[in-house]
Amino acid sequence: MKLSRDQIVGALIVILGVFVFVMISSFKVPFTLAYPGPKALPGLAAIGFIICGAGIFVEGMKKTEEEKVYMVKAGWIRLGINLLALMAYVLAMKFVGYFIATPIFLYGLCTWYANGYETKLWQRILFAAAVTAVIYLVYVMAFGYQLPAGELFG
Amino acid sequence: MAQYASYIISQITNPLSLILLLAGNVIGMVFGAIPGLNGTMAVMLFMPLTFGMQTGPAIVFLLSLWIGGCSGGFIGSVLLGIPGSPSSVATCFDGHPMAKKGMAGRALAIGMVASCIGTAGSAIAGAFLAQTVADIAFAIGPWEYFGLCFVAITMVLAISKGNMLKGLTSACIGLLFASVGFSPIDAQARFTFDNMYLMGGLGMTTVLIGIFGVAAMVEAHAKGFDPLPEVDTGMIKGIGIKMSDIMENIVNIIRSFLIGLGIGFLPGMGAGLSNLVAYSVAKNNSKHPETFGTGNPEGVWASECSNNASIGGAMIPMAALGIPGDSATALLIGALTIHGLEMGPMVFRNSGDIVYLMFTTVAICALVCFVLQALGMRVFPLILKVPYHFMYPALIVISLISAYVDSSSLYKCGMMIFFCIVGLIMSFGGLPQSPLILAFILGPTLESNMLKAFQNTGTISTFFTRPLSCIFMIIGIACVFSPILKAAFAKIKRNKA
Repeated sequence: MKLSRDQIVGALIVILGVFVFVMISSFKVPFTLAYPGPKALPGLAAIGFIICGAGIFVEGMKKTEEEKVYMVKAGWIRLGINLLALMAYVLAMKFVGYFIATPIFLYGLCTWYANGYETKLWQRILFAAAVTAVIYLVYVMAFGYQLPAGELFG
Repeated sequence: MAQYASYIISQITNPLSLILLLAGNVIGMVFGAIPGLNGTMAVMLFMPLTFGMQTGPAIVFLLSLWIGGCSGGFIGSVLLGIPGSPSSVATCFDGHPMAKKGMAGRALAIGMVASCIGTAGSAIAGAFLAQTVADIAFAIGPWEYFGLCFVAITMVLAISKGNMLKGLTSACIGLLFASVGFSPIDAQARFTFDNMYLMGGLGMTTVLIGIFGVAAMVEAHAKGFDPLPEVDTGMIKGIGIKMSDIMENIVNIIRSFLIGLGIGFLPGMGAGLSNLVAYSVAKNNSKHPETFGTGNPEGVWASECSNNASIGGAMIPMAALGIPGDSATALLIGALTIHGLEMGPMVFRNSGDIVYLMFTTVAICALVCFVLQALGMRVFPLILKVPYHFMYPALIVISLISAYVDSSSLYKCGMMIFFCIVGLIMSFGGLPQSPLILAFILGPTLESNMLKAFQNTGTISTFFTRPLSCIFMIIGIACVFSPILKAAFAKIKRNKA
C-alpha cells in the first residue's frame, strides 16, 4: 500500500506528539488545575500534535484524487546535495575559516545553480569574491562582528 | 509627542541612519518586487546585522526594510502578473491587465501614490491612536493579554488557506519551539538535552531564517528554477497620473485606507488580507464592477492603499500592547526585545521617544519609497531579472553568517541547517508558515501571562469571568472551530434555500 503525503506527515506529527509527552513527563513541577506550570505550553502543543496528526492521517486516507508530485527523483537528489553542501560549508568554516570557505562555496553553488543558464567563468569568480568581500565589509568593518577564522589558522 | 521631536530629528538626520534608511528601502523594494521573496524575509535576514547597532539606527533600518518590501510588492504584480508578496495579490487583478493594455506606467504610478498615501497616512494615524490604546491597555491584566495572544494565533489559523489541521499543527510547532529553554516563573529546563546552546531558548534568527529562508531557497533549486520573467520595457511610458485621478478616487482611497488600518490593527491579520477585502469592497461599490479584472485603476488604488495602510494599523497593537498585527511586526517585536525594548503599554512611559521614532520613520520611508520608485521606474524590469544563480547563493551565505553572528558560534549554523530540514518537511506536508511565526514569537508572552493569571486566582474560570478576557477567549475558540462553523452555516443556508 502506497502512503499518501498527508499520511506520512500525519504519522510523523503523532510520533512527535508522543515524544513531547514523554519528555514533559520528566519535568519536576507538577501539572495541576490550579497551576499548570511548565508542562502547560509543551503539553498543549503535544495534544495539538496528536489530534491534528491523527486528523491529517485520516484525511490522507480519505483522499481519492491523485496527489500532485512534490518533487521528482532528480529534485530529491538536488535537495540532498544542497543540504550536504551547506553542512560542508559550515564544517569548512570551522577548519579553514570564512575567507577560504566562502568564496569556494559561493563559486561552487553559483556554478551548480547556473546549470542550464549562460554564465561566464569570470562572472562567477567576480561574484564569489565580491559577495565575500561585501559581507566582510558590512559585518566586520562596519558593525564590528567576528567571522570564523578557522581552527587551522588559530 | 512634541517633547520627542529633538530626539527623533537627531536620530533621523544621523548620517548612519540616513544611509540605512536608503539602503533598507532599496533592499526591501528588491525583496518585495521579486516573487518568492518579501519584506518580512528581508527583515528576517538582515535583523542580526542590527544587533550590534544602537537602537535608533537599528529601528530605522528594520522599518525601512519592511516598508520597502510592502511598497515594492506591486512591481511584480503589475509587470508580471505575479504578486511580489501576499499583500499585493489583488493588485495583480487589474494592475497586470493595465500593463498589458500599455498602461504599465500609469498602473505603477497609481501603486506608488497609493502606497505612499496608505503608509504615511497610517503612520500618522497610528502615532495618534497608539497612546490611547496603550492607556486602555493599563486596565487589562494577564488574563486579557493571554486572550489577545490566543486570538492573534487563532485568527491566523482562521484565515489561513487550506487545511485547518495543518494550520494548527504549524502553530503547535511554534509553541513547541517557543518552550525550549528555561520556563518562565519556574525555571524548569525544557528540551535542552543538557546542551548549553539550548538553555537560553532557540534563537529567532536560527529558527525563522532556517525554516522560511534557507529551506525556501534550497527547495526552489531542487524543484528547478522558474524561467526568468520576460518584461517588455516598452510598456513603461510616462507616469500618466494627475491630481484629478486622486480626487476622482478619493472615496475609494479613504475607504480602502480605513479597511487597511482596521484590518492591520486586528491581531494576527495584516496586509495579506486587507488588500483582498478592500478590492472586493471597491468592486461592490463601483459604478462599473464588470470592468474589475480587466484593468480598472480603481482596483489598484484599493489594493495598494489598503495593504500599505495595514502597516500603521499593525504598529498600533505592536507598540501599545506588544501584540503583533502580522508576521513582520512579530519579527520586529522580537528584534526590539533584543535591543532591550519591551513593547506594550509601559513603552510609552519608558521609551516614548523610540515609539514615536518608529512612526516617524515609517512616514519618512513612505516618502523615500515614493521618490525612489518615481526615479527608478525604468529600473524595475531589471530587478525582476536578477538571475537566481547569483541571488540565492548570496542569500544562503548571508543566512548562515546571520546565524553565526547571532552567537559567534558555528553551532547555530548547524542548527539553522536542522531548521532548514524542518522547513522542508513542513513544505512537504503543506503546513502554512504564518501560524508558526506568530506562535513562536507570542509563545513566551502567552505562557508567562497564563502562568501569572493562574498564580493570581488559581483557576481557569477567571479567563471566562472577566468580560474582555471572555470576549477574547470566545473569539479565539470560534476561530479554531471556524471551518466547522462555516460548514454548519453553509448547510443551514442550503437547507433554507
